[in-house]
Amino acid sequence: MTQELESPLPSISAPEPGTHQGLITRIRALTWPQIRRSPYFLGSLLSILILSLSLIIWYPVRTTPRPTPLPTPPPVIAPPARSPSPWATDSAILLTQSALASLSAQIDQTDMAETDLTPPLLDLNVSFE
Amino acid sequence: MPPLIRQGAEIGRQARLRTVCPLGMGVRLSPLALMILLLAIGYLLLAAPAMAQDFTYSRALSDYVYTFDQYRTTHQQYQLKVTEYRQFKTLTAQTAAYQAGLELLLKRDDVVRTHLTALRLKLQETAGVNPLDREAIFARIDQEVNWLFYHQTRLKNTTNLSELTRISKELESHYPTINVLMYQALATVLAGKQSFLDEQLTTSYLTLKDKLGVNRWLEEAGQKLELSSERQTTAHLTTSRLTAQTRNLPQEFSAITASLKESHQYLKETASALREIIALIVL
Repeated sequence: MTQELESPLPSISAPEPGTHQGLITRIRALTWPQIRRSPYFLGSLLSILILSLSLIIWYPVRTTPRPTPLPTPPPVIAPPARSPSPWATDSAILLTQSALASLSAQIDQTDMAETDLTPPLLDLNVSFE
Repeated sequence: MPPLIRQGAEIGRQARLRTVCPLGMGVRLSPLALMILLLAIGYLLLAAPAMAQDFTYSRALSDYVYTFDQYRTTHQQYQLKVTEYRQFKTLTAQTAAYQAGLELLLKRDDVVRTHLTALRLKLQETAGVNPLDREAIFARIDQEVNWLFYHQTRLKNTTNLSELTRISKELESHYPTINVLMYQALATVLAGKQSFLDEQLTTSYLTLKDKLGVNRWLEEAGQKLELSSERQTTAHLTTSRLTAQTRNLPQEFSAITASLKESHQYLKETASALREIIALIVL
């Protein structure tokens, strides 16, 4: 019993016989042909491919509106420079213009019936018998 | 002041205050009386034209409308009293019928007279009426108004129903002459309005023609102006042909107004065309 107590205790932080080290070592030990044949590798490659394709297909559609077709704009031709009409400053023409405006209003307002002055309807057969 | 000079001055002052009356008698007037006399003369001179100016077409038309309303009321009363007289044949009913009849006939004359007066003033105020036509119609209206005053006096001088009926018939037989005058005066008023507008439009047309020379649109406007004048001439001819014997005066008058309305429509189109021409040339 005393001997058991006196025997040195195992170190607490002593590393356990590791399994990880073995996995890494095993991965490291894999050769390229082995990796290519691995189902994990093929699955990862496929996932990356699908993600990339979906990004390519959906991303532009959602962000930028589909451009609407527009007709080709007609060529813009600057109007030729016009000289002002000589009548625009002619006093006789301008006077006639204002006279005609007032005359048109007068023609529209003229009463061509004068119903107030229609001869009255009178009893022209007054008798007592 | 010497006595002789003072006496002379006194005589002069009295002479200055003395005026000569039409009979040659000297009348003394104090300065106050002279001033009152001058003020009265001035008032009469200024007020008389002012009072005359107040009587316009609008006032004459109001008079006519008011008189016509009174005539309608009197006519209802006349119908009532005559029915009573025909039913009862009493002296009281006869007197009442006479009174109502007299009132009606006087109002009937008043209606005709006020209508003619309104037409006279309308002719006077309407620009464009031919002065010769105006004067001719004025003379005829005045003649008829005098006839109506005389007729009213004759009506008032009647004493019984048979006399009243006889004098009433005078207007009834004379009325076609008055009626044709009414229609001719009204047609002259409408023609005058049209003539006035035509004259103004022709001035504008000639100004443009003078400025623009030969222009197709202007020629078309000129043709419309000519058509307008033609319709006016037609209306004038129809009006001048009306007589007291003309049958169906209202229908003839409708033909006159139809011609004038056509003429008016041509004037409207001409004015519109001329305005369009100007709008295009000043651009």
